[in-house]
Amino acid sequence: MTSKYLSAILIVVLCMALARPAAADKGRMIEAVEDGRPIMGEFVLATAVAAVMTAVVIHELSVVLALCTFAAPIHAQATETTAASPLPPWYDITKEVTLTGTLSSVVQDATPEMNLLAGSHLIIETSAGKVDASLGGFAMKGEGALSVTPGQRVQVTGVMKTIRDQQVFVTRLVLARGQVYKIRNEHGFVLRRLSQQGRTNSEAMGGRL
Amino acid sequence: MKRGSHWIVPALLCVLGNASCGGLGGLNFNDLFLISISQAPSRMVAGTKANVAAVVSNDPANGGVTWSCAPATSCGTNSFNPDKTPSGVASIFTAPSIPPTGGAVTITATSVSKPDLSFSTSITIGSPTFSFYVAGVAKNDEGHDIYSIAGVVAFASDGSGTVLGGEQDYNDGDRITSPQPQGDKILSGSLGMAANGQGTLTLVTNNSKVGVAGTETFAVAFSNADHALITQFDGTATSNGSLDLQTSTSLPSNGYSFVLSGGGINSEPVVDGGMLFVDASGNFSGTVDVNDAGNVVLGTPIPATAVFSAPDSFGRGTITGGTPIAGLLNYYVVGPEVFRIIDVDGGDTAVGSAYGQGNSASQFANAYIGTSVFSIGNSPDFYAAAGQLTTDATAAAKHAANALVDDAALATNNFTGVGDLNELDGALLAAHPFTGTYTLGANGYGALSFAAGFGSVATIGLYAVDPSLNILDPNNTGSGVGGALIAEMDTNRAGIGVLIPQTDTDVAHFAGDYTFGAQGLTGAPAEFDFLGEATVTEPGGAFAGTGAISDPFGALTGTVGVFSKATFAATAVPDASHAGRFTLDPLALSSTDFASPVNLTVTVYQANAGQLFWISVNPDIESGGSIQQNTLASAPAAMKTKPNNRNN
Repeated sequence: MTSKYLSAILIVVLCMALARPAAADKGRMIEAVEDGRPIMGEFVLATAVAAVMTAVVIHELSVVLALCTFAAPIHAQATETTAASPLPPWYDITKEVTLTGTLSSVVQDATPEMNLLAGSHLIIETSAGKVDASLGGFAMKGEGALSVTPGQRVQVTGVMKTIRDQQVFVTRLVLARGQVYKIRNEHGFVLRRLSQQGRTNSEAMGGRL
Repeated sequence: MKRGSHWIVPALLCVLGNASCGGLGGLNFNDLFLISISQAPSRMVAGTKANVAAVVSNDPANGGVTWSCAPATSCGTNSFNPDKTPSGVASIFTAPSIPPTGGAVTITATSVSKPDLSFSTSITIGSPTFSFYVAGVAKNDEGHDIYSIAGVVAFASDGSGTVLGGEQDYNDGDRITSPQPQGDKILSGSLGMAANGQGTLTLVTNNSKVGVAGTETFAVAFSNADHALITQFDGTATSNGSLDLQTSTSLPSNGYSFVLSGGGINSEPVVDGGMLFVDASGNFSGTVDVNDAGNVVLGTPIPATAVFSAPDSFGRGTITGGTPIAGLLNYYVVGPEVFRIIDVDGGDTAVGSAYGQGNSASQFANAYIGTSVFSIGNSPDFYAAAGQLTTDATAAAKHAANALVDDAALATNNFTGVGDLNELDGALLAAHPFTGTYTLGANGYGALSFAAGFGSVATIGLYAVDPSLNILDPNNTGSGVGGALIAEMDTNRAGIGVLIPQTDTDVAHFAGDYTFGAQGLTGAPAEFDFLGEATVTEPGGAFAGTGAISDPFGALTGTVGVFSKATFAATAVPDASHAGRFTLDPLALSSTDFASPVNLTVTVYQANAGQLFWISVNPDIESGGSIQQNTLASAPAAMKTKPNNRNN
């Protein structure tokens, strides 16, 4: 009787240990965390190894393994809805930087000959060199459009990316003449400019340039 | 009624039994005098035309048949042209201009050689109302507002194309939204048709803010009498959508999958997808996925307060009760299993479609998604994509055979495929291989997950539809059926599209007459749309078409305007490495109305002989759309005699 209890305990412990990496490999498992360390994990694994080494019920090992085969996907399924996107965000706001410089040129509508991304661009002379700040298609169109001229100081906030083999500063915010123009949202989606009457399209957020 | 049908039975016995047909007391079935109607529609719109044909067997005199139609008071005396045809040769039948009492007529083919033998069939004649929707960009406000229209238009039954009335909702989510709850009235208008299915639809509304002082003009390209692609064509806006015969005005009921696309509070791209179940009272429940410019919320339940109102005589109703989609939605019924949805909130806009799940509701499984072709994109989000995939739908079978095999595949199935993608501000991919996993629940709700991405595309919501529904042509239940609506649910992109079974990749079958359309964006960026009719000739793949280009920003052609006499020329070259994939490089768009031809580099994916998707992969021009078999072009000579009539 005792040996059966021992076997059952071994089965549960070993299954938990083996199920953990199986689920973790799928990127689906949520672990409880205490003080930044997993509550289970290393402890469980060590216990399992020790228990297995001391077990003498070798003839039951095949049963253990067979049951563990079923145990693994139970964890996986239970946590499936937490699966994350397999791709990093196109616009990673954690990599945003702010650059300040002088406009060397303004491109309202890029033509194919310019070999630039679609839409408007600010070519900014910064301390680190020239930067192509891509504004998307609507920053310089319609009511409340961004209006800047070469020689003007501007500040841009965005993410530097390589797109179609070009270094492009994907711009989310432009600060010019004391106005902050929101060009993209936090995911990098271009915002179409709308009238002041329809809704706010630029935000005064302080700062002077 | 079918006096000749008793002759068919012995004929069938003869064939099915593979007998010598000389039995039954010496009676030789091969010698039987047989007559049957081999071609006739079951339903027609009043005033339209269709080919009908009869076959007479074992008639030594080869006398053919004489055609007649009853009741004579409805049919008149000139229903058939000609009224006498040889066996197997079609006559053109003109449906009564006014639906008869009882809603149907009977056509009869009578043997000339043996006038006592005939065969009859019934054809339902309906009043023509069409449900329509378009989505695009309006120019008459700030120049680039995303806008949506959905509505129903009623035509005269005399085949003249006269618009008798209708209703619509217009919404640019900014300054112009049709007044609610009544919407816009369509007061008058016309549908002028050319020979091959192309035409112009003019709608005079009571809303002076839409179109040109209240009059909207659309270019249309019919692929059959019930279905057309449609593009606003008056320079005030450009868009792309569908015009479909309305076959029901009843309250939607039972299970549906749906997707919508539009613009949010900052005119940013927003898409929705999900499923809903409507009870007999209009109360509904369901689940909605929303992607508001990268802010993705999946699986939001529809609140219990949500309700469909009873539709009016045009099949228009409201959806209220606080769905996650919008505060106020209207719907327009297309048929028993299809309706269009439009967001009529003042601060945002969207339009889309709901397709029934039929008898498959709650019975879907991963195996439902097999080898498929898909198209997805969103011009306001600068991208289009198309591709083809095959699935590993055999996991469940493997598991059934051996419980220890492939457990993980029970939760997700695998897919592999190849696709083309054009993100104007991102990746440009041609014949790009991809892999991934997918799920499809019993309720038809699922997702495609691209393992390493497909450009910026990673996760696509999957919403299965009735396997007997044709998503592109909702009145066509005979071919190209099944599949799913799809909506991209990434922080990177937001778009909608369709996924349909790929059943025929034979190069030789991409041939004949087609209707085509596309919506695109140039690097400016500015939207353009085009549609038309083309003939594809095999062998060789010559693609020759005519059509209309809507380019109100001049972004595509360099000339601001709408161009109704454009030509489209290309050679469809099959991809030797990927059956079902073709390249058209270039697809040359030409017209005397703009300075120089526009050459698009186009990829086509063939789902079957009648349904294909195409995408342009120019570095500075993205577009996506469909190519659909055109059955109207089969009788061009007859149509030319009466250009305002549609033909079948």
